[in-house]
Amino acid sequence: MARRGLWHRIAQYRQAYLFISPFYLLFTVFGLYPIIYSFILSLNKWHSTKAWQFVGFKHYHNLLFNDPVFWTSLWNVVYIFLINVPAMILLSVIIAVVLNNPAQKGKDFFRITYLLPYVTSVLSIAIVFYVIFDDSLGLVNLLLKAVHLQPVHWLTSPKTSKLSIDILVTWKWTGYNMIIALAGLQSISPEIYDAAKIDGAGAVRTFIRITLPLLRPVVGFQFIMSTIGTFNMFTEPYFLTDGGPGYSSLTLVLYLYRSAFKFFKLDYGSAIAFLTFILVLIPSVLQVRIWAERDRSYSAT
Amino acid sequence: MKLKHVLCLALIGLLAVGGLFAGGKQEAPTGPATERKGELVNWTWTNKCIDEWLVPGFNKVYPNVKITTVPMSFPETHDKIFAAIAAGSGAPDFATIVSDYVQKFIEQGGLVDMTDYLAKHKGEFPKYKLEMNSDKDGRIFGVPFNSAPVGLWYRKDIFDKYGIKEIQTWDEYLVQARKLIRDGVYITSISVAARGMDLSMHGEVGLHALLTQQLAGSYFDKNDNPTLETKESKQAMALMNTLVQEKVAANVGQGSPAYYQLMDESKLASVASAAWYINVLINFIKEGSPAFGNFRFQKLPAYAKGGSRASNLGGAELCLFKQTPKDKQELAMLFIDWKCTTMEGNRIHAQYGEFPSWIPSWTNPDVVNMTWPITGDQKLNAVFAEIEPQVPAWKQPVRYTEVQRILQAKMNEIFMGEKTVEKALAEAQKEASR
Repeated sequence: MARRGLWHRIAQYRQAYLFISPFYLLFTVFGLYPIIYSFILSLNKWHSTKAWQFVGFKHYHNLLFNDPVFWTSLWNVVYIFLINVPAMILLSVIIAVVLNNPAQKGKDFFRITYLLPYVTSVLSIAIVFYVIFDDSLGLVNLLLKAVHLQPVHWLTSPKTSKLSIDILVTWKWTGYNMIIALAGLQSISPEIYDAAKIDGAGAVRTFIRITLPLLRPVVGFQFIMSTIGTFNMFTEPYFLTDGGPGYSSLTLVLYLYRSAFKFFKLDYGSAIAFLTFILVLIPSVLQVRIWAERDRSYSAT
Repeated sequence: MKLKHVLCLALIGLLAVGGLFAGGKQEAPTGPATERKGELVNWTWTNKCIDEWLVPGFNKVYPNVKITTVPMSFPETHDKIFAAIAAGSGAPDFATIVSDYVQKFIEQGGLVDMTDYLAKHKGEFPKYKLEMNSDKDGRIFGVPFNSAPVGLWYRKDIFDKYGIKEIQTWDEYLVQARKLIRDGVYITSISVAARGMDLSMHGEVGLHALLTQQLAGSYFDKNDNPTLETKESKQAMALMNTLVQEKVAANVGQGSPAYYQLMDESKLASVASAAWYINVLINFIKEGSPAFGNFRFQKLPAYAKGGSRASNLGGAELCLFKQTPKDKQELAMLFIDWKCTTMEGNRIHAQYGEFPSWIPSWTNPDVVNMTWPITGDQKLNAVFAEIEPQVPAWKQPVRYTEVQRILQAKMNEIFMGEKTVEKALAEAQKEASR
């Protein structure tokens, strides 16, 4: 009966289902099918023209217990994440608050300027940063030398290669996050600020007590998107450092690409992809829960 | 009776064509050139060479065969070929494949066996090139496109200024390096970051490979298991490390802005690289630069007097794909045959700035006497032709690029002074053996 009821409901709302079906059809072909195929691939020893051999979770076991390069690439991603995400979100909120000020002049100019890095191709940006961070000719080291500081081996030292990627990523994505934060700020009712003003709250107190709490859902969204973006990072390290020196800036997806397309181990690459997926899923779900919980407790108060 | 004759002839014709392609093997087709018609697609990173130089020459002989080149970066070409073979469709009609990758695609089962075709050209290609393109049963899957004999590209003006004659050994090279650095001139460049070949013209990884090959060493044993701790590998790495630690090699990656700046400032005296490097020079050193017209080429310095001075770095092959329709394969063979085994095809290729693998072309006066403004009056091909027959064999099995990556990571630790050559190579061996 229940099944009958379900089909009846689907038939009843068939126009609505028809409207949403293109997404699901495309997702099935280009999303779901490759995901399932890739998972099956990760459980087999793959060969392009010979029969596959089922090996169970051997690739996952190798990755977790026999592959230090995997752990290095995971640590690299966590390092990039820990520096880049908080810095980027903080900067984006600060810039958004400044641009949201009604007295601020030239808003459009600044908005476009901050958004420009986001709309520029990562490849172009990486090439520019490659030149800027060059050991001997790079602009950054020339400036450091001009103020009598020691030049830094931005791209050629394992100690600073990840930091260089952090700088590039922060520069590129702050504008995008600023737009999201700005949208969040503009959705806060001006009456709340008026009430705070009447109660005698200053600018700093208003920002801490009103703006930031009301921006929580927006910041939560920024956090989740940045987490996903950082764990899936490929283009920036590929063009800027090629994952080096050594493995010092090798990210999970760059390692996946190397394993699958350079070492021709599609099976191993698929296993990396699935572990990366799980690794992205865990912090994302945790973040969603934490932000949802905070929102609930905030609403209750 | 007439109909029978026609049917018999048609049958014989069919059998002949069938025999031509039996077992997926490929041979050069015959027939009047103007009757050959069709369109071909090829994938290559040497698009300028094929599109602007070779195809116009080919079309003089085969005017009705149109070749469309899809230009791709070096890594993209091989990534896409890999994906096309894995998918079972989407491959071009023919492609240029760097020698490092041929074994991978053979193992993948995607290339057409060209043994029969090459049997007709026995002795016309260097043995080591054919071995690179062969599987364990001796079947050959690629026709050598260009060879990459290695030597020392040096700045004649700098060498003349310091009274340096042809350098015979690496020890002598180090002596001259110490002399040059007093005036701020680097003998060569080695990036401490140790760049890989995808982004840096073979980079430091390529340098170590060519120095190991010079000693007839190998990264693999006869069963294709990695052997990174060999005497030759250690000796090559030690030489590179000495250049780095003594700071006589500039810490810049090949092809980086700083690299060309050093060239323009006459502060970079030499680079060990392959024959194709002439092409890099043509593209990046413009008239007006002090480097223009001052580059020369000599054989590699030997490790010891009288030792080997030959090696190889890169080089490419022309390959066909099993998934390509037979008629397209046949048409593509026209181009491959014209380019690889005719004097005109090889002459044009040499003029572009790559050293052809076809041995008969090495004695052709047009090829031998070629000069380029960037290298003055030196007849480079004559030197390349002297080196090429002495190039030691070099194994590039399926795991070649993987092993190179492992070496690359360890190289950085050596150059940073964090690990000794022995320790780093032992770790690399352990990692590669996992």
